[in-house]
This record gives sequence, C-alpha cells and structure tokens, in this order.
Amino acid sequence: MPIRYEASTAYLEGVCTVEEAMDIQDWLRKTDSPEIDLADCTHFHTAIFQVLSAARPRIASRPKDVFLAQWITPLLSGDDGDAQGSDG
Amino acid sequence: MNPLLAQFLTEAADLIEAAGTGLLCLEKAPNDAEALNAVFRSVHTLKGAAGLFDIPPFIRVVHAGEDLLDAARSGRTTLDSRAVDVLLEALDQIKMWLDHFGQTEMLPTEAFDRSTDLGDRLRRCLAAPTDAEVKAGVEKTTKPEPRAEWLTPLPETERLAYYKSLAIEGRSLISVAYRPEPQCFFNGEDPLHLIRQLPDIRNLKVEVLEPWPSLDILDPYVCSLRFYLLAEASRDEVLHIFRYVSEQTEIVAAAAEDLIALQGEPAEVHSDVLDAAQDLWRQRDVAGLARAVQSLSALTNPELWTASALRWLAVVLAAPEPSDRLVSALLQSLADGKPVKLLQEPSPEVALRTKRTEAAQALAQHILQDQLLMLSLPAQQESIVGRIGAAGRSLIAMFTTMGLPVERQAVEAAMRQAISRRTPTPLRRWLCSHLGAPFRPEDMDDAGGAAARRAAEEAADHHPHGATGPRTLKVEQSRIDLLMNQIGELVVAKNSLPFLARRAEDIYSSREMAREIKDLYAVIDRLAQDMQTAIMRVRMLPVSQMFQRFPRLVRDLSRKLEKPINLEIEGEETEADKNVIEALSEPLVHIVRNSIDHGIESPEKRKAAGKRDVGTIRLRAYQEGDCVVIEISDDGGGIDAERVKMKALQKGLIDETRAATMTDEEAIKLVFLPGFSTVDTVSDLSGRGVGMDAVKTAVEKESGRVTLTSRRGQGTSISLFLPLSMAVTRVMMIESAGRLFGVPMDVVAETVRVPRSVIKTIKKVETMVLRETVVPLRRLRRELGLPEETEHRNEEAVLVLRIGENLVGLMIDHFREIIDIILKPMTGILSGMPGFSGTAILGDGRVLLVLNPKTLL
Repeated sequence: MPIRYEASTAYLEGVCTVEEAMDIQDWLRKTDSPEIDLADCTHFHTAIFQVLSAARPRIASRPKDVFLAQWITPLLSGDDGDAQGSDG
Repeated sequence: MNPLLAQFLTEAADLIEAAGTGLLCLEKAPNDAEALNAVFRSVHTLKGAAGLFDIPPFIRVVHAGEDLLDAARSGRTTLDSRAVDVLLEALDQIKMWLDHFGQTEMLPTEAFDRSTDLGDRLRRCLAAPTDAEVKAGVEKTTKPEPRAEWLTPLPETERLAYYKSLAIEGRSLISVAYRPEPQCFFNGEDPLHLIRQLPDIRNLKVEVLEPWPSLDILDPYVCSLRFYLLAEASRDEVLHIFRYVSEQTEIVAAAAEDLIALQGEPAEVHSDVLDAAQDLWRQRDVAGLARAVQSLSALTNPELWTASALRWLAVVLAAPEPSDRLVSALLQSLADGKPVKLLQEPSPEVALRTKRTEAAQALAQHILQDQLLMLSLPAQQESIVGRIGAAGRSLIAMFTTMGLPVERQAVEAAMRQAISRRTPTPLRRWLCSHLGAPFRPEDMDDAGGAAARRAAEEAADHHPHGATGPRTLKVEQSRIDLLMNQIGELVVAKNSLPFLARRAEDIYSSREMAREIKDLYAVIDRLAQDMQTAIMRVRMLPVSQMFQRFPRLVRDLSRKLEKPINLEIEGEETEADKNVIEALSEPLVHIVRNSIDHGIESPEKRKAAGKRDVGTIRLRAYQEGDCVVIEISDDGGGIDAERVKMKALQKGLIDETRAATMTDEEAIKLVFLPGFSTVDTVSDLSGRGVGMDAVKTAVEKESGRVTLTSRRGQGTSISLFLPLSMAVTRVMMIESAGRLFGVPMDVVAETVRVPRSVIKTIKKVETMVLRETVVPLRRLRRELGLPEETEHRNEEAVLVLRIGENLVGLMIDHFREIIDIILKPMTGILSGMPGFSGTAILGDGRVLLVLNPKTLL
C-alpha cells in the first residue's frame, strides 16, 4: 500500500498511482488538520497532485526525491495564493 | 443506438469515403485546388462531427490530417505520395475505429497508441519541407512563431540566469507549455511523470485553470492543470519525451525576446552619460561599454529601472558576440524609460516576399476587374452558366495561388449560387464588394427579364432552402424495406381481385359486377406497378458506390507488386438494387485482385510481349435487359488453358479422357469448379483460399451468373450478370398432381408441348431432342415423390429449364399463368430443405411453393 494512513498523517511511500487519488481525497476530507509525509515518496500521480493542491495539507516531512522536493512540494506548501481548498 | 450517433456514423463514413476518393485524385493532380479543398472540407467536417463524442484518439488523427491538408491548401507544403500514403492509412484507421465505435460505442484499446503514431507521422509530413520549398526559399509558416511568453513575468534574477546560459554559455533552453487533455488520466497519462523525465529542469510553473472547488466535489480525475517548464535540453530530446502528447504541447526554444524585460522605478539618466554610452557602442567598443555599464551600476540604486537596464546590458555585452539589436534596444529603453522593443526586423527574404506580394496584389486587382467586366457583359441565357463557371474558376485559382482560403470559399459559394440561379449576380455582387465598387444590378440584365429576374432572385434570397439543386434525404434502409414489403403485399392482395370477379360471375351470376371488379383491378394493378417501380428506384444505387473503392485498391496493389496499372471505370452511373450492389462488392474485389495478381504481367514481361508497360484493368457496368452487367477485363497474360487442365487433372476434378477432349474454352471454365483454387495460387493478395468458385457461388446466390472469356496473351474478361432488382420475383405457375408450384422465370428457357412419341429413353433416362439438342427429361411428380400419373397422355407439357450451362426438361401436368410474387425464404427447420427456394402467398390466400430447380434436379 503506497499510502499509509495513520491518525492525522498520511505517509506517501514509493510510487503513488492514480488509483490512490480518490482514497487520499476521502481521507483528507474526513481528517482534521491532516498532514502528509512525503519522505519516502518517489512519485505521485498528477491526480494526487491535484487533490493535494486543492486540500493543501501540511507537509510533515519533505521528500527525498529531487524532482518532488525541488519542483513539486514548493507548489503545495507555498503561499503562492492558489485557491485554498474550502473543506475546513 | 442514439440517433445522434447513428447520424454521425453514416455521415462520417461518407466523409471518409469522399476524402479517400479526393486524395487519389490529388495524388494524380497535386495542384488540383478544387480536389484539395474538397478533401480538406470533408476532413474538417469530420473533425467537427467527431467532437460530439468522446473519442480523443479519433479526433487526434483527424486533427493532424486536417493540419496537414490545411498546410497543403495554403501552399506551405505539398502532398507527395508519401503524405498521401499516410493520409490514406489514417483514413483506413479511423474507418475501422468508426465501425468499432458503432458497435461498441468505444474505440479499441490500442486506439490511443495508434493515434499518437499516426498523428506524429502526419505531422512529420508537415514538418519536412519539400524540395521545391527549400529551393524557392519560401518561408515555412505565415503564423508568427510561438513564443515562450510565460518566461517574461518571472523574477529578473532567474531570467538573467537563463539568458546567461543561453547566450553566454551557449546552452539550449527549451520552453514547454503543456496543457494535458482533461480526460488524459483515462488514457494512462501522468503529466508529472512525463515532466520528470526531462533531464535538467530549470523552471516549472503549474497553473490551476480554475480555482479548486471544495474537496467534496473535486473530481481528481479531470486534469485541470497547465504546466510551463523550461528545460536545459536539446529540442529533439524534449520533443521525444512529449511525443505522445505533441498536440497538447507547445515546444519552443527560449529566446532573448522572452527573457529581457526591465523592471523597477523610473529614473532620470543623465543625457551625457547616455550619449557617451551610445558613442561607445557606435564604435563597437564592447569592453569600454561594459566597463561604463559596470561603473554606472555601482552608482545606481538596484531598485531603479535604470539598474535593471544596466544589469541586462551587462549580460548582453558579456555574450561572445553581443547583438546590436539587443544592445541598441536596451540603450533606447535606458534613455526613454519605455519597455524594451525587440521587434524582429524583417529578414531579406521576408522583404522580398512583401515586394512580391505587392506585385501580386496589383495583378490580382486586375484579374478581379476583368472578371467583373466579363460578368457584366450582356449574355445569352445558355452561355451564362459557362461564363460564371469560367470567371469563378479563374478567381478560385487566383485565391488558391495567393493562399487566401477565405476568399476562395466565398467565391465558391457565390459561384454555386450563381450557377444554380443561372445569373451572374451573386458573383458580381461579391466582386463589387471585394473591389469596393458600387454594385448596380441593372448592369447585366437584359431589359425584358430584368424586373422579373430580380423579383425571383429576391424570392430565392428569402427562401434559401427553396433553392434548386439536388436534395437528398437519408433514410434508414429498414424503413424502405418495410415500405417495399407493404407494396409487395399490395401487389399480392390485388391478385385476389380476379378471383373475386370469377366468384361474382360463377356464384352470383353477375357478369356486370365481375366486369366492374376487373376494371377496378386494372386500375389498382397499374397503380401497384407504378408504386413498385417507384420503390425500386429508391432502392437503386449507382454502381459508382461499389466502384469507388477500386481506385484505392488498384493503386495499393499496383504499388505493392510494382506493376503500373491504369484503372478505367465506365458506366458508374448504371443503377442496381442496393442488395445486388452489396452482394457484388466482395466477388468484384476478388476478381480485381486476381486480375492484378495473376492477370497483369510485370512491366518487363509486358515489354517483352510488345505491350505497353502499364497494364489496364477496365471496370464497366451497363444494363442489359433486366440485368446489370459488371464486366472486369484486363489486358494481361490471359488464362493458360493447359495449366488449368493440368491442375484440374492433378486435383482429380477431371479425368484424362476429359482433359484430352476438352477445348480451351471449356478448360478455362474449370476455374469455376469448387476446390480448383490451389495452394500455389494463394498469394498474399488474391487467393487466400477463395477461388473463382466463391465468386460464382456469391453471384448465383443472387440469381446471377458469371461468364469468363480469356485469350492467351491478350487478357481476360469476366462478366457478372445480376438481376436489376430482387424484391419481386416473377414465377411461372405450374401444376402437377393437382398442386401448384412456382418456377422462377430466370431459369425457364421455354415451354413446349411434345408428343409422347418424341420422348426416347437413352440409358434409362427419358430424353427428347429439341432443335438438335438432346435434352434430358425429369418428371416433377417423381422428383417430389407425388403419386404417379394414372391416365395416359398423348402430349407432355415440358418446361425447359436452363441450369447453369445445361438444359433440362421438366415434365409437368399443366402450365399456368406467370405472376409476380414476393418470395419469402423458408425459415426454421424448413430453411435447409433442398428443392425449394421459398414460398409466396397467392391472391386467393393459398401458399405457393416455389421450386429451386438447381437443387431439385
């Protein structure tokens, strides 16, 4: 299971595929102040990126993967004014 | 199936067909603007129609094809046979998808990969400039090059760094604007995964197209992102990575224009400083100017516009060969505080082109005026159409040459209108408005008809749909079939009136009543026949429908086998029943394949035989009596009767004595024997295990026949004879043992009454001699197992039937009348019963069994 859900933290590990998008979306909806741990994530699908981009959970741990760390997580944690998910 | 889909399927099939035909014309005459336009229109319409359905691979291919055709139309590329090959292949593919889509409402799974492959190949045809283009030095595109404008708003430090990589370090920076299709995830695409393949990403910007909705209603499977990225890689590398989504991306090399932009608060710069800088640059003192820029920078507040300009000047000057354009523009901006103007100066080629265009414009104006003048001259009614056509064609040719498709289409529309109304006015009106001249309708009209014609024109303008010209209605075949069945029933029902008349006379002894019924019958009979003819006409299709596919088939095979072949088609307008046409298509393909594969010899052989190296295959259709005849002839090597005999002997189809006595003509006919087609005749093309016997069977199933003549060294000719229409069958009624039977008229050769004495028994078979031909006789009662005749007759009624090539006499009790029936094939457990081809209902309600003499005897 590439995404491990624990209390308020989701651990994304390895390659997270398009199938996970719905799950993490559900989890983010139901979880209060969710956090995600990307440390061991090597890639996540664009669909998951969309969910994360909409929900903006706190990133508990940054990815080791260079591409994710350099280009993707800044887009998710940044304060670049993208519409914040209105689920809160 | 929903009606929209059904309509799309028929429409699309027509459009694909039309495009294919047009392409073949184009291949022969690449400069035929009319044909090119027609193909483009078909493909364009197809794309529009397909847009209603969720079939992205289909649309991708059509779109790529459209682009290629559009480029050809505006003269940016020419369609060579390689391009036509790819286009035809694309058409074949989408036709297959269309069939699949019609059945399953889905495209096959491999469609996605196929579509990217085809799309790429179509685009490659577009990308490769043709030789002519290279020689002429024509600019490839008229559109401005796409630019990486998204780079401009980036922070200056980043842009400066990119510029340094680009200009100073000489690296290749490629910008990609990537808008994935909303449904792309369903095609297995993952844009982020694609992007991470890039070797050295310098920048990545992700734009969310619409603010995210609440997480509760967000659909994560609709991609609503746009990516902008800058990669340090070669253009080819980037193109390769994005090859499957090429139409969703815009890939361009980052250029100085995209990067250089000044920022900061405006500030005054001392004019003597500026003059000094400009002097230095005029002398091309790069080092001096760089030093000046450096010292000036040190003194300037970095927040100011001036500082920004100086920073840019510094990097631009640091390039190995500083560009005058950039330096001058930056100095200018420094002076006036306005944004950097980096307008591309026209290159000498473009300047030349502009000049040429001007000359062409003047010439065009001239041509337009001439056409207007010609159209304004008074003309005889009969020469008007020709004149409109001439003017229209000149204008179309002119606009095509000038690459003005919009104008050309307008002319085409005006021309069509003018021709259909038989007046040059629409074309003149368009010309006047195009030339900016006042339009005076009375110029051309002859005094008398002017007012009336104008009134008529106005009326026509008000009712554009009332315009003349062929109007067609597309109707499902089942509806026509239903109508035809009903008319058939009517034909049968009216047959009961004569019975009624007889009853009136016999039972009620009212001769007058009987006569009135007969009169009425005559009227209804005539009407029914008219209706029958009318419905037959509806079902009739020109054989061109069937011939359409042959130019393509012949072209492909001819190229594959390297035998140049000229296909001649004659009598395309000949009409036949739809079912006949459909039934004939397959056998015809088989015969044509055979002709190309086995008939036409290789060019070397042909030359050696003293023939033209280009072989000819002729398809000819004509009507003969109540038959449609399709004749396929070639000027190839003909059939080798000896080889046919040998083969038939080997296969045990004939014995040696038969082989020895056979004439060549008879031998050739052996190819129709089942099982004649042998392994060594099966090639990649023809054969495939189906021989001429399959053709014969198919044709005979539709009550047709096949004839074949062949002359060694001169070619082969095969004719297929088919009944014009199959809906109503004419049968002769006969009586045996008190029962009625029908015999289809197409097998009836003649009816004779022969004295008993004429009938001789040879080898236990009763025979008679009819005009010096021995005709074997059969008794219908015996064949059907009916009780033998008890009374002795002096004269026998013999129905002479033609079965294949042979005559057979059928001895019956009585001949009855000939009637039209609707033949219903046997169904259920009776369907396989030999001897009968079906049943029909008679006027008095009785069931008539219709014999099938071929299986009976």
